[in-house]
Amino acid sequence: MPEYLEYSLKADALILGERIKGGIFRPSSKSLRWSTITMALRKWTGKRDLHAIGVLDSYESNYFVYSPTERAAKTSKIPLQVEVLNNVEGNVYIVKNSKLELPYEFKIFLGALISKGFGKCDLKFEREIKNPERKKGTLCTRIPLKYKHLFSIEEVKPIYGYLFEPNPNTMTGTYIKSLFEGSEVEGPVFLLGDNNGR
Amino acid sequence: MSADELVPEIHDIMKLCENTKLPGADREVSPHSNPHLVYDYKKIKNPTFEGICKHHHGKNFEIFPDSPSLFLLDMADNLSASTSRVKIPNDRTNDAIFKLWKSYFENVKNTNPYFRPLNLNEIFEFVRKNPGKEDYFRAYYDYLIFRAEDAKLGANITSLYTHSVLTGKFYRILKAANYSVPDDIFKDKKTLVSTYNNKGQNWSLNVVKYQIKFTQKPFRVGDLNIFKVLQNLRNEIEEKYSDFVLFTTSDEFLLVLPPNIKNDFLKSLLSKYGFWFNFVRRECKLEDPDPNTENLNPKMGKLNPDPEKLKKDANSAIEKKKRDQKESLKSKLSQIPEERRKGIEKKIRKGYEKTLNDLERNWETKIEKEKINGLFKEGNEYIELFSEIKPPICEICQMAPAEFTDDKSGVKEELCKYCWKIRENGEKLIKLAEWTYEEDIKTAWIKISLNFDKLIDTLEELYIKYLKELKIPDPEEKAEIKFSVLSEFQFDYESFLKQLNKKIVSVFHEENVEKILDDFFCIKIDNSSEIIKFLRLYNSLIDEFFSKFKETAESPIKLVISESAVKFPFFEHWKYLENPRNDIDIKLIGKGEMKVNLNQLNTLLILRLGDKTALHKLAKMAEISKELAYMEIVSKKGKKEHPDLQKAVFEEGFKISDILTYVKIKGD
Repeated sequence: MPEYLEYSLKADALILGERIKGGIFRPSSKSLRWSTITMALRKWTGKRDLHAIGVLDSYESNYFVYSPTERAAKTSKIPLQVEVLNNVEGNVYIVKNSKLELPYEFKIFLGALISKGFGKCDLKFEREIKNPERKKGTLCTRIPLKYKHLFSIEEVKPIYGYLFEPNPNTMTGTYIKSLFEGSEVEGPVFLLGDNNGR
Repeated sequence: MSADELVPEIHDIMKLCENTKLPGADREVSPHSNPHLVYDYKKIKNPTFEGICKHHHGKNFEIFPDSPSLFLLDMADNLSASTSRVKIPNDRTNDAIFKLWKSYFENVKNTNPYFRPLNLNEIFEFVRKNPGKEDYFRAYYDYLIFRAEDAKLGANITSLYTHSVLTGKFYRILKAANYSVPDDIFKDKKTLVSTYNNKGQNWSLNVVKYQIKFTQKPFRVGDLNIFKVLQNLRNEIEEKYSDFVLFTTSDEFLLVLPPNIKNDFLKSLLSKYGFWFNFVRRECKLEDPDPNTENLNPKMGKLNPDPEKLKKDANSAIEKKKRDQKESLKSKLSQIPEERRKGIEKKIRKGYEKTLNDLERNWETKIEKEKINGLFKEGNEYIELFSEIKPPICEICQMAPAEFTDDKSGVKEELCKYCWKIRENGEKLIKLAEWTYEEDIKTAWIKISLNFDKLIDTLEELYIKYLKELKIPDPEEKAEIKFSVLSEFQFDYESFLKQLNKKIVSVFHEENVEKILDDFFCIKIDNSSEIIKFLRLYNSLIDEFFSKFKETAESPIKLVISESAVKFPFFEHWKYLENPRNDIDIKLIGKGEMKVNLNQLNTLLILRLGDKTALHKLAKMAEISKELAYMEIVSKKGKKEHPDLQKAVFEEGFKISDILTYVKIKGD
């Protein structure tokens, strides 16, 4: 049974973009999926064999209007309305790994528009979880099927979708079949909640 | 159907017949209750007439089913009855239907208890012509929708029309099940009755609830074709499996399937568009399989329209236990001196947790047992999904590889075969497309939904209330919601939607209404206050069709209104529209939201909000700071300037945030 490191997460403003192209509105995902938090932590630690997922406990949803600039032509494109999650609180669960050494507290950047000041997150170590209590319930985050064993998840009534997994050292990647929030699963209680998070 | 075949729908025609003096009787009697006298008096040689006279096997009936078809008709008749007949006393009757969702008990006492408009000769003449079910419904529709199937007070909750339609369906479902009925059971009534009971306790049917889901996130007007596709699909299912479909909403189906039909039979239809569905299936015996022993739940053993009942019972038993424990803990602790409480509380809590865990485990075991025995099954069914997809992935559903490129709009979009088909094939929403080119246009998306689970609970609650009015003992045990009541409700729900469609057009005018489905509209509005016009018409229709839902804590009919500028992407509206959380949810995108219970709607619509200028000021203030607006209302100054708002919050139970949104709606 894997062990986990629980870190609390706090952020003033996050944009966890859904992969939707077109339109002038960019919604934010309301769950901290495996791909977002794992890739951010891998980048921060430089370790490739790291896996983590997040659960958002509370946030406020607001809108931000942003007009991307074409620097070469010095012109602005059509303004976009972006959904921003403010005052975000949640937890990050990192699969414990002997090669992994993380500080008690640290900062990472998550999501979109980081250059505009969004995405700064404070992570603080809370506890180490061994043999977590497992129950049947509703998953409140997104996890690739091929990594579900790392989080002790068994599907009961799955809701599927795809998450993007980049290929190391390339600009490409693949979409991998994943369990989405709302799936009925048997798993650690800390990953269970209602359809829209806990 | 050939006219020479038995038409099960006509089996109860004699319930419409006046009491008649028949040879062999010393007074005028009900022909329906005395079929042997009718049969002796006149013999019409066709299977439907046989069905009319021989579809009962009870002790008061001297003639009874004497062929496999009539045996199935008898069974179908029982399955589509409004109640389990043995339970309701028959000393008081009224032929008029009592609709749980709109009839008032006081009116029952004032209506003429008899409604039997046909005479026997008219019936003979009609049946002699070998009529089909369409002929029957065409000729007597008005009578059939008014006449209760069972005239006993307390059982008169479904119409003869609904019962007739349902009997036809159950008859054909049983036929499709290919259960064998040996010929030698008809030699005497005793053998027939014992076989009937035995078959009922052993034959089973599958009750399956499907909910269609889609993963597409429509962001262009053209992608809203998905709803037209959904409607076409719904029509296709209803047409193809008309006898199996017993209840539908715009995305849910309740079916009764013979055991020889697998529950994934819809998969091929749904997978044409990449839709997925979730299903719950329960195998039920036709009658209580073990009537003499105390079941887990007396309503569970037999054919029940709620396939999730066992799971729901488990949840409510656990929730009840939790509530009881909380109360008991509170009362126990209050009796203990404060300084000793801490230590004892821990001990009591531990004991409670153990009881709760034991109860949870018990229910889980029961559910697991049902699953292992194959009686209960639930799951989500998808089209075949790849474990990995190399980019590009479809931009609309993000569930399949993109195989087509659509660049007609000037933006290149990669689509999968399913989304391509939906975009190409559906009808276009022309008005909505035109509105997107106009300046300063707002749209209100309106969706009405029916919560199936809540519907059954609410009907049960209203039925208990009706039985209590009649002073019938043990109403909780007797108030059983069967398929017939659901079908009766569906009949009214469809009429309600028809009226709603008409009224929306008459209030908002054809050119401003884009109808997407019967229960889903997009309306072009100049300002938010037009939402109130819709609330008024909705309120009047609820009063007309489902007034009793205003007396319940939660209504099974839900309304969501989501308003924004016309160009705001649809899929953001859809998140609210597809998941109603309250009786009425109103969302003004970027401005606020409000939730209203159906039982508050009258009060809301007559709510006086006071001075218009002060209101406008308050609405503006609320846009900047909700807290400041709150202070404005509850302060001493607020008492003077907004007395009605204070009343709404402190006396009528509205939440201040909801009222502030209402202020914004009215003030726009």
